[in-house]
Amino acid sequence: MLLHLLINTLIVGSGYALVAMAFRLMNSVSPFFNMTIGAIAVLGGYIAYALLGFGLPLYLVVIISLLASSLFSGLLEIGIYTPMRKHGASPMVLMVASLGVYTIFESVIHLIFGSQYQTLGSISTSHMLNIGFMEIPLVQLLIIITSFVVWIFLNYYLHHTFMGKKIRAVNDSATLADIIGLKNNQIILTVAFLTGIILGLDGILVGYDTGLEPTLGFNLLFKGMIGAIIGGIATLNGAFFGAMFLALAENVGVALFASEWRDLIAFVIFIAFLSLRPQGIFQKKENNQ
Amino acid sequence: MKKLLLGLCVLLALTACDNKKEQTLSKPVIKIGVIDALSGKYAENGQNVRQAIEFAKQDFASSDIDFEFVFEDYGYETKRAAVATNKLINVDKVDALISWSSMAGNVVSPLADKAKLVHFAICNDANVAKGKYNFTHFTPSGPLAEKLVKQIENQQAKSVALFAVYQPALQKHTDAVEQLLQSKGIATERFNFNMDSLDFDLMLEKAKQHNFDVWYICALPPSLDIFLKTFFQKNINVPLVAIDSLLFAQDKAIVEGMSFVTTPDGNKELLDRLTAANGSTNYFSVGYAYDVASLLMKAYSDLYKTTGKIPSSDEVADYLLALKGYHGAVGELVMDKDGIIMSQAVVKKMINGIPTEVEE
Repeated sequence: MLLHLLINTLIVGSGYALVAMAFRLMNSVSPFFNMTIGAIAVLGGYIAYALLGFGLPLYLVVIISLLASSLFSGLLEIGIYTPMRKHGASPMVLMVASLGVYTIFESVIHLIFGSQYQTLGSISTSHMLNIGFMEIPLVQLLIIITSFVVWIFLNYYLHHTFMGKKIRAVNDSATLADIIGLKNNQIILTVAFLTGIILGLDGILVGYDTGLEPTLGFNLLFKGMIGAIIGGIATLNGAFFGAMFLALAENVGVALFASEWRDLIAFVIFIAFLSLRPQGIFQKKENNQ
Repeated sequence: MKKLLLGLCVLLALTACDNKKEQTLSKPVIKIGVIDALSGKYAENGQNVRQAIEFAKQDFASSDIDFEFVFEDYGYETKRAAVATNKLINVDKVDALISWSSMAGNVVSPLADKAKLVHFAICNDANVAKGKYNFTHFTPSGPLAEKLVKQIENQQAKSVALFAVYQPALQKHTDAVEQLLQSKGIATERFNFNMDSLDFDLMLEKAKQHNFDVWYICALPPSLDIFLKTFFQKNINVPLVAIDSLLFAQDKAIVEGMSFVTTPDGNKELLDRLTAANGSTNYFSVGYAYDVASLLMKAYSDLYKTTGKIPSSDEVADYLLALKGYHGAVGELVMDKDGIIMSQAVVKKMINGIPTEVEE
């Protein structure tokens, strides 16, 4: 049971972590509560669903879906948030705008794909992998691997590439970065494209694992956001481990009490952190880096 | 001369038509509002409910009253059900209401009571039937639970794990099953989960450790499909029984060959008509919708014939409460004192992806 709890924590936590890292990355250069993050992930999943319906090979489906979600993320930035920022929109106004975009997106998905629950792969033909002491579905193993690969990649990218350093500079102070000649909007756009790819990946994997429905974006966003806040919104590692911590707390709750406690536990922890340690678990440590 | 005769014939024909129109216009019109899920997750069921009501209207021969059904879509969303009901009551000024699903029924019931309008809900939630004007027609939890428990007893089970989603009607089914099992000395343990639960790994692992003889599931998509996926992926070799739920599984292949307790669909003629009309083989609620529309029309028509005036909601409610021995699409119908029509449960098996009624 303990092993199941840990493995399940890894699976669930990895799913949360992908969104948490994307949320953190976007928030580092564009600090507002971006509701469209959930929509970008859902778009990736639905594009994959539509392309699979046309009988395209999986590798092509993945590539096109990631490009589409990345493009969508970039277009939102170019078409909505950058012009609003230029007009001096506050984070609150940007958040409200993103809520509007999310609502429109959800309605469009409803119209195109219907509100029925859809899965990318037939449930009855899911591949199972034997990992010695238990069997887990291939897609869940892929979620874990993807999440860890993205985490390692982002850590390398942010700390060992020139663009990564520019992103961190904008994160530290957008005003100073502007003064020293960094093109903030270009950097934000790069982050938007990158975030789109991460979220697109998450959408496809979720589509295979648990299925898609138009309202899925909100759930993905909330769990990812709670994970990021628990770990420390200002750090990538905080977002990653915060998501894992959230999954662990939820799973312990399910193991000790009952399944219906899952969301309650998540929100109690969220409120507890917001009131007692709003900077999250890791923020102080990362700030010194 | 020929032209004159032809002209006279045309004139006579037009006059006849006009008279007929006048006669039709002079007939009283009874408006019945229908709160139906024509879009959303259960749009296919909702559309079939609409079709069944249309069939009932076509089949009901009344020379005294014209019946008009006004459909309002609530998309299987509580908030929209309230808006739709208020629109039907205040704008369309309907004389009676029909609602589909326990979710809509729970919303419409108090509003209908307040407006003193007869409300017939196609659902099996006893709460909906509260008040003088509210009635329900759908096989109640009792007969469904009895049939299911009989299946469980046949398997000589001593313990049952009950998995149920937090949805009022499905919780009521599960309550009825649990009570009946306990009254027969069969041990039970309840595992409840939320509507949007997508992770059942630990819950199923916990249940697995207790070695239950039978597992029972009562859920709706998407949690139902994830539950089933996890159940089969974990190779849990325990009989899985259900009330209704398997009807709604998105991946029909996963439930192929499984049997479950559910409600009767309706007579074959009605179901064939539905398939011919829109190609659907999803008959859930169809017979009940047909019955509800027919009963309301019969009540208004019979009372009008007797009194010569449009009956009030109180008169229609009294008429419906006295209903006995009416042969409906889902069998012989009897109204109980609480406004709940009693009907029987059946066992179905998923054969080639189609729920097919089978002998026990």
